Amino acid sequence: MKAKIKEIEKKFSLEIESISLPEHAEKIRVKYLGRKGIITSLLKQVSALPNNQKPVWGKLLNNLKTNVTARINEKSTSIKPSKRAEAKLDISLPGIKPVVGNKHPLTLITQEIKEIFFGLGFETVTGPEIETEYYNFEALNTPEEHPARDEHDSFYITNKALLRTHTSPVQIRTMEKQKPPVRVIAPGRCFRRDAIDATHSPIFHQVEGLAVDTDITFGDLKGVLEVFAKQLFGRQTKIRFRPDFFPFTEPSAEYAFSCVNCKGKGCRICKNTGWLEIGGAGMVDPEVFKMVHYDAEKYSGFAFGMGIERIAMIKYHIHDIRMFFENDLRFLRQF
Amino acid sequence: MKVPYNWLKEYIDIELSLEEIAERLTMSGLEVVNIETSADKFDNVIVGEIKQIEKHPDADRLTVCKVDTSKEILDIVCGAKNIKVADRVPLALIGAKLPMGMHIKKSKIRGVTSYGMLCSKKELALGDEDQGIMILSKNAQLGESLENVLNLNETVLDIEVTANRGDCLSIIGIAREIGALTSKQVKYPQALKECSANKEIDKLIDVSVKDTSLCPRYTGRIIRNVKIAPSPSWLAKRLEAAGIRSINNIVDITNYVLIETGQPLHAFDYNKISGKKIIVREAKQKESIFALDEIKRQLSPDMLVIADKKGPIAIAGIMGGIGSEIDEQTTDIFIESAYFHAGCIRKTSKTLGLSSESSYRFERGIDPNGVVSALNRAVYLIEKIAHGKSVKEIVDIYPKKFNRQNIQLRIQQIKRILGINISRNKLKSIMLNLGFEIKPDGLNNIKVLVPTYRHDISREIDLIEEIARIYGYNNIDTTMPRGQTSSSGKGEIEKQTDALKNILSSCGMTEICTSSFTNSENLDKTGLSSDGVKITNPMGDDQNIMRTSLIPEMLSVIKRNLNRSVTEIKLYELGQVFFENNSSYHEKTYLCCGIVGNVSFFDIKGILETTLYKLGIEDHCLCYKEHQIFASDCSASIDVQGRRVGIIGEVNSNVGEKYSIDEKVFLLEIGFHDLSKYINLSPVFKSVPKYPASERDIAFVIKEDVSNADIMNVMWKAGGEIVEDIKLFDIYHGKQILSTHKSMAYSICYRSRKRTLTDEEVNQAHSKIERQLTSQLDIALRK
Repeated sequence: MKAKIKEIEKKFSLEIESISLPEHAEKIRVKYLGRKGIITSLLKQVSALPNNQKPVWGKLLNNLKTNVTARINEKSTSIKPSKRAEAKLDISLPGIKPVVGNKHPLTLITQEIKEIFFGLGFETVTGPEIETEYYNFEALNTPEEHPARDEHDSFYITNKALLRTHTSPVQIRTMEKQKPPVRVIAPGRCFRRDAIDATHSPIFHQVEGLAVDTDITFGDLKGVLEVFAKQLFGRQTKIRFRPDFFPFTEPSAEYAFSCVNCKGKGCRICKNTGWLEIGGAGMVDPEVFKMVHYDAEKYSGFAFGMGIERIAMIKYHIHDIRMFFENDLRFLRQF
Repeated sequence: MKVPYNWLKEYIDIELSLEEIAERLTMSGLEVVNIETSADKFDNVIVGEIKQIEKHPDADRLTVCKVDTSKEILDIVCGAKNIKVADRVPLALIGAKLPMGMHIKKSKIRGVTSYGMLCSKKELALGDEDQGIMILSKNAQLGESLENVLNLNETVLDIEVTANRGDCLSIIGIAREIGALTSKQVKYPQALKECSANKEIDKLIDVSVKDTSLCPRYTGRIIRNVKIAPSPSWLAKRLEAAGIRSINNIVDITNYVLIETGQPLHAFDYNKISGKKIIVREAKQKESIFALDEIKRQLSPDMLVIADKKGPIAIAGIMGGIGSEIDEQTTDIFIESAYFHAGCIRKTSKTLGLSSESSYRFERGIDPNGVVSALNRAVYLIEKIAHGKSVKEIVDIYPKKFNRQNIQLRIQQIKRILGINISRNKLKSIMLNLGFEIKPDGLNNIKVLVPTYRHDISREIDLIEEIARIYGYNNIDTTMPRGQTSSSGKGEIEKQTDALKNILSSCGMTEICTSSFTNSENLDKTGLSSDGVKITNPMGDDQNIMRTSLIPEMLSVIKRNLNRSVTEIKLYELGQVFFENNSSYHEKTYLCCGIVGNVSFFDIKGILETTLYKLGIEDHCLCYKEHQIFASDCSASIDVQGRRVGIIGEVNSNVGEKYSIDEKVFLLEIGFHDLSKYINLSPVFKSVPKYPASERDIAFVIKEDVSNADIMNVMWKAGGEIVEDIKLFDIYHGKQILSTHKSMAYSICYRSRKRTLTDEEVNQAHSKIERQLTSQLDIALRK
């Protein structure tokens, strides 16, 4: 039996060395290891041997089988390349792309803004787009004869109902419903009778923010917006506050981010100022607290607003606000 | 507000550069939006020196000069006689544009080429002299631009003044602000000494104020023997730089003082005041006036007017009337300086659609205690410039004096609101620089007296803002809010809309965002009623109704994209629609999907099914339901748990034509608010099957009009609970089958959750299905 194994081994060695095509390796595999192969048949005979011999022969034959298998595998791998030379896969052919849709850039940017504020402990609230004079103006300390109304050229439905000109009415609606602490953001659509041009649209979107608690300060307002700026536009972003006026905040501020494009050096996008104006903010005016029956001696708070289109335009380098509402698929599919 | 820089510098010493001042103003709340210089006015006009003058070979009256520009010597043809060699003169180079609109080009004059032009004063709009070239000083730097040499550069700061800062709508107001920022005193201009009201003047003019709440102060003076003439050029130029057209010396002086002090003034022709009576009163019913803009204005009783014996001669605080206008014959004038109620002026201005420099300032509040000094300043200028002589006395009706606000400031409130610790000294210097007076008030408080021009300061919080403003917002330390938050992050509806957008986008749909406005024509096109919420003052009649459906805009967007040769279109929009119900307004969120291209009804249905499945909505179906925009055979309602939530179908050719769309469009629209309550975003895990399934196919011929739903119903019922799934895999119409019939093939999957099914069990169930189909739906099995 030992001699037979030697002989098989020898014969196999000769055969396997002589071949040059993978299909020949396959033939050899069938000849030795196939169901009726030489080694397979010998292994079958082991069961007929006396018990004391079984392990010896079993081991020898199994070693043989392992060796033969390894050598066939080795050989077939080594001769494979020559076979495929002429049918090499052209990996530069186009991939088969799954069809995916796109969210509108305003949706994407709103989600991004919201996520940042969620992380700062804010929650989302909403309000109606058709508002009353009361919520849009009066409760925000902007009575009819106030000149600040000039900046809010409104669409009217009736004398008392109009399309909201900002998301600030949601501040009032929230505080009417809820006692402090309050930390909310209110994204939504707003309307002003502005003539359409590259940076103005009668329909636009804002995000409002409001935080009220026992000791909220102007420093906190700066902190929250600074974290926001850095998360949205990167760590190197700086933020600048300067005094402004809104009837419903005191002190009021306009805030700007260092230009994302030129990093504050001055370029076309920031009109060489190094700064991009983002929105208005301030400490909630005590008159507003009075309207919602909050005790201004006990609570203080800040509010801020920002234009969603403005931020999307900065983020995606879009130069014309009208692109958002044209719904050209060649534009939308880029997001 | 346009602030000519040289004018500003008359009232305040400025040590900082122009750019630094602009930055300081901007950072304290007066945004300098632009710094204009007149540098381009004399573009390419420089100082040249005449080196040589020769007669023109072909023209007796012309000379040819050689002019040195410091870089080169140019030949210039000239007609003037007053020049001589070594004179320095203004030379307009080729490409220069002169103020009168002349454009200098290289030109041949009688055969000699001229490389520019020597200019007269008139050609440069610097004077009326047109006889001869303007001769400059010998010291004028050769080659230097003319405006630098003549110091003509007028720099104008364009400052955006916020609605609360009426006190900054004047040059002196801005100077005061710079004073506060740089610790400098304002230098007030010369005026006539104040003189007290005296009965003497009552003989010349009888002034009465009917409602002193609407007109808390009314003052005036008379000036006789004025000579109406054009203004001196310095005055006209300053007004022009400030954006005001020069008219005549008297009107210009009133405007000059308005810009200088912020106090609106009005000059009446004294001799045109009927009965020498001035009555400040509310307009009477049906009264009207021709204002200075020559338009007749109808007045109403809530408007304040200045009237004489006959009727209104001015709309108080807004505009004078033509009847009492200053003209060339005017000799005696009555100048009014008053304080009108801000709200009243604003209301009148709004109602009449008429605003002016005056009304703009009255609306924002002027200084009730600056009324007389502005008047006296104007009288001073009129005497000086228009040679008048003022009547000594003054009319001053001021029954209730405005006093400075006296506000208590609690020091610890500064820390509470701003989060900063500010030293007493710093606080004091900020207050004093702002022109506020302070008095101690116990250990922890101070009293602050605020000048009457600061209408924006009446409360402690207003003082705190002033402190923050001057301290510098950017010097306030950045902190983060402490304390508890009430946050729950996203709301339920928000989670649902986010999920919906995720699902649709992953189905290959692209989100669009369209206008909330529509019009009746657009609604008509899709057969929708135009009973929408109407806007009373739309941007245009094509945008006068709030949308009641997302479909019209969806079709417009599809059309627009088809026009741009996009052929495969899959869009969705989630947006608000608006309804009116007994004059209350309702907003609802709708979802609209639209697809065009290589698609069928079953694509839009598939999108719907996937969406509902992913939203955890199980019990839903489509029911045939006609709809005006859909083709009659492809129009259905979407029902969830038996409730109608939306519509789905193929847009009919009638609607398609109206949008000029030839392609097939499949749409669905769902009321998201209706769907919302069925949404379940937290799927509950069901264990995956442990036992093997058996599949059996069934194919049969059946009448064309039997629906898939009917067949499925029978199969599910007949198969019993071991049927796990039934899939349709083929529908066939063909030669072997009657034209009234179709062949359907289904694959049925049998499985039990408890054990492995035996062949026998499966066969039993399968043959029961075959039997039931045969008996109930009259099928012929295909073997």
